[in-house]
Amino acid sequence: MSIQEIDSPVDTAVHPGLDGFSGPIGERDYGTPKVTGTATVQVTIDGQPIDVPAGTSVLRAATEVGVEIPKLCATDSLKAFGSCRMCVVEIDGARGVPASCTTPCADGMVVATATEQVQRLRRNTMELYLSDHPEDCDGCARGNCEMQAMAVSLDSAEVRYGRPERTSRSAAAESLKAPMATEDFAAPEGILSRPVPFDDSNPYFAFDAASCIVCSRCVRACSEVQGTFALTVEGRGFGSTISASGTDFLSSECVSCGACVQACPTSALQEHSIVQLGMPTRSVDTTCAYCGVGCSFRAEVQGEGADSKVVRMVPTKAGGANEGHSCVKGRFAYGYAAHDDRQLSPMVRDTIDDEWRKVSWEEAIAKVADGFKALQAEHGVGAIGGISSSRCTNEEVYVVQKMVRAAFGNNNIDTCARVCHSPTGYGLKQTFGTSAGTQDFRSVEETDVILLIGANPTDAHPVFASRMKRRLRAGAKLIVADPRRIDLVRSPHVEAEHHLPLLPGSNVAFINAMAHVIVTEGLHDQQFLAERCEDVNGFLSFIADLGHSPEATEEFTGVPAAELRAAARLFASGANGAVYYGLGVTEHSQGSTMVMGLANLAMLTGNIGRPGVGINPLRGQNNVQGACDMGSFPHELPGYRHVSEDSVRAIYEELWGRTLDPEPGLRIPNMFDSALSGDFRGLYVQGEDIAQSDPNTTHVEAALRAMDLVVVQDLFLNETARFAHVFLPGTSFLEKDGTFTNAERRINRVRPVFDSKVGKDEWDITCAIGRAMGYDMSYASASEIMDEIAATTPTFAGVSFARLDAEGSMQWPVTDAAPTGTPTMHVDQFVRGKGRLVETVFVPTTERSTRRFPLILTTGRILSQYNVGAQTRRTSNSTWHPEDILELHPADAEMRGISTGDLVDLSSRVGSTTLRAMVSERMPPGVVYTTFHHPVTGANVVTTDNSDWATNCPEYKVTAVQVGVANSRGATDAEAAAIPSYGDLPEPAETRA
Amino acid sequence: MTPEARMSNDIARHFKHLPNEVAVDAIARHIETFWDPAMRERLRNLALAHDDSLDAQVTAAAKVLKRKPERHETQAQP
Repeated sequence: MSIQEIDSPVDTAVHPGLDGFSGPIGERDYGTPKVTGTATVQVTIDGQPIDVPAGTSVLRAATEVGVEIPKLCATDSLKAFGSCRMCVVEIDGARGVPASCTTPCADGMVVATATEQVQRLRRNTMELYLSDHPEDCDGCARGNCEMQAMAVSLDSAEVRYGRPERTSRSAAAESLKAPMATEDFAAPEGILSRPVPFDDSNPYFAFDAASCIVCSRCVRACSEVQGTFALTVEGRGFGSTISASGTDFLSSECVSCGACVQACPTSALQEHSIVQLGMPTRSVDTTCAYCGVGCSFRAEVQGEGADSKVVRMVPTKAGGANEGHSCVKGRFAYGYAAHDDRQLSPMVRDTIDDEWRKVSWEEAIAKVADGFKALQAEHGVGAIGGISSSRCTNEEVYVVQKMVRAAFGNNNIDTCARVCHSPTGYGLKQTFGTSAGTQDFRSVEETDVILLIGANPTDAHPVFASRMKRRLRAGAKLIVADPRRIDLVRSPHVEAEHHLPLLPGSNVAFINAMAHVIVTEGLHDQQFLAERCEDVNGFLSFIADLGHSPEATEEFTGVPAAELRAAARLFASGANGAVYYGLGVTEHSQGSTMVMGLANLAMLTGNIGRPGVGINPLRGQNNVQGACDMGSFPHELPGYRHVSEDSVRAIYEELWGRTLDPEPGLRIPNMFDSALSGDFRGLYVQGEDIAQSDPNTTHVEAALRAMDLVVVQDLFLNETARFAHVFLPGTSFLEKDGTFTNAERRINRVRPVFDSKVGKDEWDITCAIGRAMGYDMSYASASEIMDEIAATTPTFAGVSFARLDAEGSMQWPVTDAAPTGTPTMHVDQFVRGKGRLVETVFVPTTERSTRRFPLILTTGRILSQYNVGAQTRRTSNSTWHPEDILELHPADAEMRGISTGDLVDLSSRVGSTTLRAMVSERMPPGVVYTTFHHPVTGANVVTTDNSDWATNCPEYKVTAVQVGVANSRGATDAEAAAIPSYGDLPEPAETRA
Repeated sequence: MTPEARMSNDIARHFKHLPNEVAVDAIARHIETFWDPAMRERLRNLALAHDDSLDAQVTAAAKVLKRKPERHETQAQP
């Protein structure tokens, strides 16, 4: 079931936790994690036999057979803890009453879960818990307390030891305005009084120690699931309490992933939204619209129709990408969908200096269609084009490229993947034969050595980072190649074997040096190369050249040769070596070459075609993979098939009834250049803010100004809309019906939580433009669009909404040979047959530091904000990152007289901006860093037109700049204090788009 | 330098390690695969005009680029 209804909130108060569910509309909680393995044992529980994998706990086996055992400290996302004593059982032949969570099943074991003895013990234990739990607990009254429901089921209403009262706290919790405080509550006579902190410093949830039973589920969730270790238990015995390491949650290391809130069996940790709105009445399973991890969520909702309110987003354990985990964006930062800035009406204006005028859909669509047709009549078919969005569904993207190819009659369709992972598409197609990563996320659990390069997962892909950290804590080795000392270099219980701080722009020299060591030291997998690859001898000869040695390339990379050699040996010696990378690889003038270099490394070491290995691009946006799959590039139809292929065009020409252009169209930067030369006159932009996200803002704005008709379809009047003549309101992910495809090729359903706030689906808006231009395109539903995609795209052949609803998700290719999808690609052979080793010559960028611009700027993303910030800036996430900050090394700061908090000018050959500085040893000397989340900073004012040689992906990662104090005075103490100190600052990522 | 000259020179730099004829062919094939015909035509015109901003191999490649006659009018309405 993907959509669940419950009768009333009252019911939710009665049963949560006891019927095996974490809540009335939640997923079954089996108490302890699933055990995998082929060996099984048979146990009998309350007379019911069941076979389970050896090592399965009695608690889990009981739940699987339908016997619910009460529990408090146990939940199936955490290892068994055995502290609450609620899950005790009797086992034939065993002494005492063992905890079922920590007792593994043994063959022939006979278990009784509800004898008079264990029931009596549970009631006594529950009585003790209740004696320390306020009778007037808000969560209990609201139905958001597992323990209260369990007490009712155990008939433990009577507490001989009395119960404390907390009416004062109730009022504070309702107001959500009380500062963190420590107060006493009225303890019964004879019970020790203890300080009770109430902490609502976090903008999304509060901690009320009065309701806390110190079961440690939150502490364990923070360590085992999230891997941050921000929480601990302080004190001993009755005086023990949960602590955010001695401070409040907001000031602590807490990353607000929500794992602790989700794990809490009482309402001690509770979302503010639950207090403000009350419990949900229905839920809808859907997919997050932030990064490329593509987490599955259960949207818990109150109300029906467009007036519905999301009460909370809860990550689902069944989600293949996230398996029950979340980050601060997906879990909490969904409020933008109902923000006052949302534009809900179409608007038009004659010139970009005029005021917007709200109009009907019909008038707006007519203005778009008439304008585009007029431009084509005057300037030619190629005078207009479109940009699709990686934030939109596969179905919406497919329809946009169809409109451009069939209704516009050209191939001037591009997507925001142009500015992020287009080199991944090029590089992996050249080497492996298809433009996608090779693994699923789960694969990392079998990896022995990870090479992480140009990516900062703890900020940009935090849920996958938690999975990676779990594997690292279990013993896998980590090599980090990044100019900055990202969190994964050293964080709690994780330390990289090697941090290779290679200089921006030297990636190819670095990867060639890695391959050189492996080949010249005989560490390559000769059998794999002989059987699976081509162009082997030429490559081996090329890479063995001493010019690629670590010693020779050290002057470019800045990486000590000995350290690089050690890292190469480590990677080659691991049984399973995997590469994970982000935009620190692609956004370079040699981005495509570097992707091929990474593919070379994987082939050289035989690390392709099985779990635990592979090439894993960490995609920036939720549907970058899908937008590329759906034919958003000007040279490719859906499924990465070139427009010049007659047989492929014939499929669409027959279906669409139009002759298609066999030549590539314009890429986004080509559109800008053509606009400035007067050839390109009209643009349709869906869900991308090119005026903020694309490089060299001055150039982009000039191009937009030069166009006669710019149509923006978006949630908000973004920076690009300043240059638009027509604004068409779009829908948020909470209103969409469709699919997203994440970085592991997983196709997930996106289901509407409430009706479209603009009265239309986005694909229907696009179809209306096509129809108004004279091309009949229409669909009855998003499902029908997917059916067309499946019918025309071989890798999607087995995909339909019905199949996805049944399977949960599937990873393409989904074909007759792989009817449920393909978690691991290139198992027996590469998609192109043999893997191709490419001679990856290092060609340095033309962007060089000079006396005038002596520093190199690299840009990226931070945990709490997302890309251009259109969504996250309209949520409380700005609490953590209210402005873009420039990080620079102390030596660079000192010679310029810059202190943390100072306003500084950042200038390059193409522009300048002003922002605050933070001095940090995280940066290497000569390299500075900032994010691009805030339009007021406009970091892309300084980035240049340099781009990847093969794909024109911008070289965001290398811009020669100068930095200087912007004002005559330094920062005031208050301004300096507002900049987080090193270690406190949320870590910017290497990832964009 | 025009955008076409800048981009094609970038491509050429990445094929410089190849023998001249192979490099020229690789440059031409890459541009034919990924470039809009109007851009190809502008590059060809630069080459024919002996524009000195072009890399020599780009000039050679531009002269052998496949040309598209006229953009066919798929926009014609029924």
